[in-house]
Amino acid sequence: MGIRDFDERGGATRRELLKLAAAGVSGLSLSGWMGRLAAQAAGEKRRGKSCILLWMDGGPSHVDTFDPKPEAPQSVRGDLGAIPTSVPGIQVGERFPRLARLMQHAAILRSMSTPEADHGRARIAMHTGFRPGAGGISYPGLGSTVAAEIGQPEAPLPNFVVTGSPLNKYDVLRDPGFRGPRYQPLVLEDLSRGLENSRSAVADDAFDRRVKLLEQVEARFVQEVRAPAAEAHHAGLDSALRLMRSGQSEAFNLGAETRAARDAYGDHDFGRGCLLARRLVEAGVAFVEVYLSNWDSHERKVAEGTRDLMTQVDMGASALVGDLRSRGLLDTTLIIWMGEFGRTPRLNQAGGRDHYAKAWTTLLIGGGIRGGRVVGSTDAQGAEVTERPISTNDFMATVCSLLGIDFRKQVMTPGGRPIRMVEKGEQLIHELIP
Amino acid sequence: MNLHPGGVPFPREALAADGRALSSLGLLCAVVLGLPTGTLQEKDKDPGPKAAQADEARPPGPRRDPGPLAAAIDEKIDRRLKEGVVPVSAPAGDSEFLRRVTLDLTGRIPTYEQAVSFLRDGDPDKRSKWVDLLLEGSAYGRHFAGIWNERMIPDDGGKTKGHDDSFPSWLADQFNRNQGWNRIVAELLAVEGNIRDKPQTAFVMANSLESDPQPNLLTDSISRLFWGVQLRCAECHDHPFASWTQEDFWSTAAFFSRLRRGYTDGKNSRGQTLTEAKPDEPISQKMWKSMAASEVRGPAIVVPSTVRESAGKIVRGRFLGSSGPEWSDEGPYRPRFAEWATSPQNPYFARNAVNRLWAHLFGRGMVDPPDALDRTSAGTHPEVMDLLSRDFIASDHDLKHLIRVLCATRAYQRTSRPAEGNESDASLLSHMSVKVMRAEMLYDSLGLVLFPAVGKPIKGKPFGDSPSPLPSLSRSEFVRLFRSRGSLGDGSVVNLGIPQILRLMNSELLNGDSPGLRRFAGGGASTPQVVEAMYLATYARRPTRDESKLMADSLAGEPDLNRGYAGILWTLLNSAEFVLNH
Repeated sequence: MGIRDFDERGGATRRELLKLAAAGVSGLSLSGWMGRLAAQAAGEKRRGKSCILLWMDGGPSHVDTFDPKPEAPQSVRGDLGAIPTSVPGIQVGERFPRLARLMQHAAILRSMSTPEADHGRARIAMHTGFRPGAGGISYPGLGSTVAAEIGQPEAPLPNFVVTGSPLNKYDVLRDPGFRGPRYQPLVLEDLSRGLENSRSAVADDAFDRRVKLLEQVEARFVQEVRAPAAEAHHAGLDSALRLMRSGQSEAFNLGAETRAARDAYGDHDFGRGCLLARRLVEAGVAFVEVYLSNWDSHERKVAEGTRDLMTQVDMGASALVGDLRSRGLLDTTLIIWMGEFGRTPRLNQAGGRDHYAKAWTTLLIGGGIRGGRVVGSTDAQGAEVTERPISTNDFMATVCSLLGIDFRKQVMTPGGRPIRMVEKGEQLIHELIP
Repeated sequence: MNLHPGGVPFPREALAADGRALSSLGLLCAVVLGLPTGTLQEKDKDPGPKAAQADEARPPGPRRDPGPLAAAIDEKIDRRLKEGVVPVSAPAGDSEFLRRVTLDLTGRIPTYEQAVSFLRDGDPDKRSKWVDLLLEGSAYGRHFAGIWNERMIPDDGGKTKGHDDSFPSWLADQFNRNQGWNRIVAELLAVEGNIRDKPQTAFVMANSLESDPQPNLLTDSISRLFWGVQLRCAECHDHPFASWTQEDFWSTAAFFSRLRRGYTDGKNSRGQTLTEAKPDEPISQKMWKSMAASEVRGPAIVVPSTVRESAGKIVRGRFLGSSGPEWSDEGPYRPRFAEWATSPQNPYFARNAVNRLWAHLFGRGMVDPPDALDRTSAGTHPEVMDLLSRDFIASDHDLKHLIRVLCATRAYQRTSRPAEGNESDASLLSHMSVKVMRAEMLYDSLGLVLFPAVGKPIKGKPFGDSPSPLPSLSRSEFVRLFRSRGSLGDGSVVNLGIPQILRLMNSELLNGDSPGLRRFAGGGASTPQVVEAMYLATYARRPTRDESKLMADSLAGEPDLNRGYAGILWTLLNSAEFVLNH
């Protein structure tokens, strides 16, 4: 990618500032600048929507979660039953009693039907909206897209944060693709310690001098080599310094919450991730992704383990919805619950379920959707979509629409190629959009 | 001589304004004090790391001259650039070359002394001599062992039992002795015997479930890592992108159907062994009971029930891409599979080795990603691939020779600075790509700057000792915090996201007192001398006049000179120029 693309969006103001400061022209001391940023951060609130992606890595079973088949034989139904919800006529899996009471805010999309059934490929497809390798282009994930489109360009906090444990071991999801390094996420692996090292180790004046020097040394080198790796480092350094200067790293500190608040989310990393997501959205972050792994239940043992994951989801997500609601943020915060695919409706010989992308389920909550409904359906076995199949691009287009992003807009790649944000042929899920 | 409390001399002689650099006294002093050293001068004085060469795995003979092949490759690369009308960047200067090749071959930056000595050296062959010297040190093997260990034994959160440092050490020894790549891999595939005594069993054991070797996992790893081919999709269905069938997958897996972990010596304290069962031998372990096809002569496998469409089918072993061979005996079959798998008869083995080493040095494989050799076999430079893989086979899979050839090319020795009009070129080699280090490389390089090792140099092993650990953070903890995973099998690189950048800037890591800082800043040297020494120690180059002034100016208004110097070193270590390999 070239440096010009890197400057394409939002970078100019700050870059100009930097140049002036570096050249010593502006007379703007870095501490003064720091003060300004902090004031700005305190005074302004981002008005756009936010998105929280609860990513169920490995692929949860739709039959065991939000498309239960209580009438089906045991070999399909499995061991888990179904329970009623706050919306008459809608049932969900028995492990979600708390979310069941919030169903009026949610839409269950039971007719997902997508082409990828391999973890790696499906993970990319469900994050980017494109099949991996399509067109020889490295596509950005939803987080980078949202950060670029509705994030605040000079926000003190990064517009895209990823957390949860254990994090997916592959790097590809952190890759901002053609959006460039300004839209790479901040990845917080250890939730218990907040964001460490966000205060300088030396006195403010000494730190200002160092940083001034570093910014000049960095800019000079990056200008010389113009390489993606160097630009990525430069962008990371910029974001890190902006964060330090803003004094907003407190948003990462879960210790600032009351005991009761923390307990409501549950004593596990997923719950803590949800709590962090709420704090970050409150602080204006555009996109937060919370990982929950180990859904890959080919065998009975893993399948049994997913029951605990379901309870974690039920606690964390319901506390999140409740909190956002009481803060008046639920209508502007879209929560997505999904994995990369569903699982075979019929139990296999090992007592588990294998990958299944032909018919599966995702969940949308809040974000101003017309909730309390189910979109699409599957047959009595949960094996075939019987109504309103939802493709990857239908899903992505709908999510973008709900967030106020014009997904038909063309975005220029670094190579100067215009790319549509969502692949053509999409059919919006109109019934969700107010 | 100017000794500091840390016992490390300020190399004052190196800073003579006329560029005379390090005097022989200075060098001697460095050697005696055991700085991590190894310079061309030292090598001239001590004409042979004999000890190292005595261990060489290959018979003594005239070393192949990398020059002609390197020139032939350059000719083809240049022709493609010309055809594409892509301008070519300038050759890299000595500093750029020195830092790059030292990082690429030993996983760490050059030391201050090495930079000074190399830059001073007027020998026109100094670059190839430096490559030779790097390949003679043990850091070479350790660096490549770290890379291959990570590829072969993916970190699974400690689920794979029985591994310690013994496997990377075994690999490092193989690389340092320059064992042929075919022999190294064949040993990994065919190894038999006691698991605890034979570190090379680690590869098979890493492809296990609950310590039982899995033919399907082995097939996936072998095809990806050693052939550059993705067979995995063909495990459950015919491959969607390549022409591999399920049959191809399971006919390779068949060679491992009788592999078993057991106690051939009885259950005793010596532990478990890896062996290959005979066809008529009852197999006690439950996993293979279902997979070995005992009624069939020759290697064969029963496709397990998890693969629903072909479950229960018996697939006979055959070499990928061929229909043979015929089997008439009772095994063991694995050694013959290993021999074929690493031989020139396997069209992928040598090309994969060449492509992966190419990717290591140039930042991108001729075929990219590296496990797509079957899909895009042409790659960016098919003729170069042909030349190199033929030569690699002819050299008996000599990795050091292959490295010498690649490092001797003008393409490798080009600057990473793009020229007008070639900025967007990422595959034609008009300029060197900027590479991201592995986390281990960054840690070791930081250690070399901040905590220059003091210890006895090992004769003939110029890079024999490990860089010092940083006291505030262990190497393994640093790697845990700074590693980001690449895609499967590509290994990892350092992750410099916001939390990592904050940690580098603000933790004790780069903010504490250190002998490295005291060595440069504590001896009453002039500011330009201090700045120059710091640039050499971090960037392996001297500062430009502008930079020197910029750094000196930063001290204005700083009441505490030492804190000012600390700030300069902090700046250099936190910069892209330091943390990247360019």
